[in-house]
Amino acid sequence: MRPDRTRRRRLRIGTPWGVNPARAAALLLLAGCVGALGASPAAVPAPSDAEALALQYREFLDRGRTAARAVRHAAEGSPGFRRIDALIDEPRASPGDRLLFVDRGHTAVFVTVGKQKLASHGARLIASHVDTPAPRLDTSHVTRDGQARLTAHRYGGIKLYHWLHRPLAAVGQVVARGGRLVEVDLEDVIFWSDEQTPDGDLAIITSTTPTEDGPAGPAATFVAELHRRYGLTAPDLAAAELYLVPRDKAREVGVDRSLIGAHGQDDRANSFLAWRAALDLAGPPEHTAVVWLLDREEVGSGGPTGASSRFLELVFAWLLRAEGAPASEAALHRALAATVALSADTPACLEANWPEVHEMSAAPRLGHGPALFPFTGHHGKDGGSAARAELVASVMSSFRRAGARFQNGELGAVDAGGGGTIAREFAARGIDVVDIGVCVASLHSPVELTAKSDLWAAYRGFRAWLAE
Amino acid sequence: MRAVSGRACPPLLALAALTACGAGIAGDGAASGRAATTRRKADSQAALFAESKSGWKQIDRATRARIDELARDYVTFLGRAKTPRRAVAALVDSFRTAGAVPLGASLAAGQRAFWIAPGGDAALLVVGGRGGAAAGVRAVVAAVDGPRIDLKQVPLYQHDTAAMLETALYGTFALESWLVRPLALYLHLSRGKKDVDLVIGEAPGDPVFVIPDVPIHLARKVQSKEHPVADPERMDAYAGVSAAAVQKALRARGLTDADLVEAEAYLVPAGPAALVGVDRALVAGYAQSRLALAYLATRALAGARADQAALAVVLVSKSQVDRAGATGIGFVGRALSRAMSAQGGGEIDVLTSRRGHARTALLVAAAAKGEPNAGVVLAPEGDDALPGALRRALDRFDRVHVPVQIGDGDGDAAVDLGSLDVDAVALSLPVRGSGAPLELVSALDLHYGLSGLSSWFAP
Repeated sequence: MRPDRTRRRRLRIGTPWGVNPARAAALLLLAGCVGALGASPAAVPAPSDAEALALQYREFLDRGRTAARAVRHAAEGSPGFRRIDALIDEPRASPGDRLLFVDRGHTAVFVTVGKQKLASHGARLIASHVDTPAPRLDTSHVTRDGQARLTAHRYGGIKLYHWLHRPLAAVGQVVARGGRLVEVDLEDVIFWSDEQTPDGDLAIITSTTPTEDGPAGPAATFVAELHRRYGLTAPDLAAAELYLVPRDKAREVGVDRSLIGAHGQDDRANSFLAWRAALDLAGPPEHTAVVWLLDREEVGSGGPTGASSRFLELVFAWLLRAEGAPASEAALHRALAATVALSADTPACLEANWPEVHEMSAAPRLGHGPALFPFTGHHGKDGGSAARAELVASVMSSFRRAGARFQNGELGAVDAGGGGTIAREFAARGIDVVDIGVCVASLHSPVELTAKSDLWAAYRGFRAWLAE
Repeated sequence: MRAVSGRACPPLLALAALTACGAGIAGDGAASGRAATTRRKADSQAALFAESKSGWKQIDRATRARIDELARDYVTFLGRAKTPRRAVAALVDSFRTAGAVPLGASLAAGQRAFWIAPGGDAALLVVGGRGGAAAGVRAVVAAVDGPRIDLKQVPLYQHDTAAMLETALYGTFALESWLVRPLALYLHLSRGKKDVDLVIGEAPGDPVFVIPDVPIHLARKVQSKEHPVADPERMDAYAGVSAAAVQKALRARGLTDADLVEAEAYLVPAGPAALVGVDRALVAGYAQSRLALAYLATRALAGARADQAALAVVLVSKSQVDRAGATGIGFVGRALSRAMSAQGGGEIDVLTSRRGHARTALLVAAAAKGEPNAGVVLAPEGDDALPGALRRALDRFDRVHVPVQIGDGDGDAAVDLGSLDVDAVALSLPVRGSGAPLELVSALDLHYGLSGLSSWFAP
């Protein structure tokens, strides 16, 4: 089925079947004109201090409640970046050009072409994930006859008790039969869970009254509402990615307003900061600056939109061709090997109520700047990474030169548990990589906490490191 | 269930039934005559049982509109009732709107009056008619104190990672459900004769407080599945990053360290109550296991006409403190005496008072389990309510077709109050997630509760 124009517009971001060469050319032309005139009028100016940054950050969190929405918000908030469809667009770019590659609407690469060639000098890459742990609503089994509740299973590592007895919103995407992409936004409706199912899922209340006509149960009332709003039917809901997120917006926490409390900060914190740093680079950087916003980190970084995806190689190949270099396998490997990367992710802050899971000398503290953690993993190096001392030293000196505070830290006491980051996905490509990021308290919970001063320090550090 | 046949054919053995019972399957053909007989027989038995008439299917559009209005008003009330003092103030306010005056010496029949005791408990009254004090009181006893997190007296301390507030628990509840949610701080203190009330975390843009949790990555050795938070000392809340900055921010709000020592300082879930679901038929809010009946009883009393007995709602502020507090018996006894004195026009003698008590009937709010949308819950088992007392309550609800469920209560409230020589029956509304920071009550059950309690207060 051929989608009509309005449908096509909905599909445009990164969906390969939604590409329209004519419009792409028009956009290209427009972006070129805007570039020639300087900054786009729609661009939000660079933040002047920690409070201004925190305000922009809260808006990012409120609008980017799923990975796809965070990607869309970042893309729409980057008018100075020329949208590239790497599958179609002819490779051409010159130093200072700002390019945006989006894949399947769930991942985005922001590139600022540097003075040095990518082929010989590699890129400076910050990679960070915009997906976050949350319950995912299972809409594939909605029936008519008296079904009272839906279930939600876990996306990423969540504690089920966190999600009981609190107002939840449902946001995400449904691809209806025929390929129509529907952005579902039910933030005005409160969903609720007050029990776990025997299978370890959440039982979700969507409604409690039966439909007005017929014998249908409360779950059918929910489908009726989706039909009223979006024209969706139960079979359409089999292809859905609907997350339940806390209905609360991002808020300031603490009498002194020094903290941000919100869901999704692991890791929309560092991804926001890296994106904002890319946006606010002044002039062409020395090396090509790349910021990659990633999906699927919380479920192992697989798939076409995760850190393992060769989408990065597609972008690099396009860039190599754009600078006139051959995009051979060998050239690609050389460019990757010359690249250095920050895996920007969130370690857990020291928790005052749970001190024994930390090693006090190494646990990151709130307000002490982003934490540089050169090693991760548990039981030896299971699932972990180890950075080269040269890279650690160069990152530290970049931050120092920018006057950005940082701390040295680790994820938690050795073998108190542990987790991994996407660092190894870059190491596997021959890219030199180290983990760094603002720490998050109450990590993987509906109200994660970060310190405003840490956000500010990381933003300035990232910006300085990308520019050098 | 549909009858299968006049003969005994086990329904599970459908195949056997087809062969052994032959034409015995009801529905058509030769069996229809016999089926009709069976149906008549079933009907004659049905007369022996109450037909269950509950649930949304019974509700017409006009009633649904009234239910929605009730739910919206109740949601507004919940937002104003996050502490016992505020709950009592809100309920007294609404009762004043219905014409109530402070309880004085002489009151005419039908006069509405209220009495707020020094501890914050309150009694709301409708003075009765000719019966005098010996006619007793028909009352609802309801608590207004939800579970909450109190601040210790010297709460603020600087930890390595942040400034924290030391907390203590009020009530018995699952600690983990209070973690990682936005909390508001309610402070009440007296400066000389002036009361100071301060709220941080309710106004839009106000900062909130959060009790952190250990990340799932590191939780394995310190949290068990059954009791994620085994130690209540792990419930301290974030106050900010530095204690000095927190103190400065508190001073900006007119608050010193010394004030904190004296204050009643409560952390409760931040934000207004709200309606849940695409159909907005459930109310989510704080402390509903207590406040729902307090609200409904007050609203019913505000609309009540005078009877021979005095009518009263007794609001108890510290029901969760211990067994004696749980009943609020001290205050309920005094409130009933005040009600009878008002009824008798002043001081009354002990015989009159005892007669009045013996004729007094109470519904006592309890936390009994019941199915949502299936009616109010009476819980006579926990406290062995006498059948006569139970019948009086049942008949009042039957009169207005409010379905009643008999549930299991935790209650010793009613039996303790009974020892005042009054009839007492434990009553509750079905609450989902009872004891959690935010609980659910069905709008339909609010409607049942209001109808039932209005009938309780009707002549």
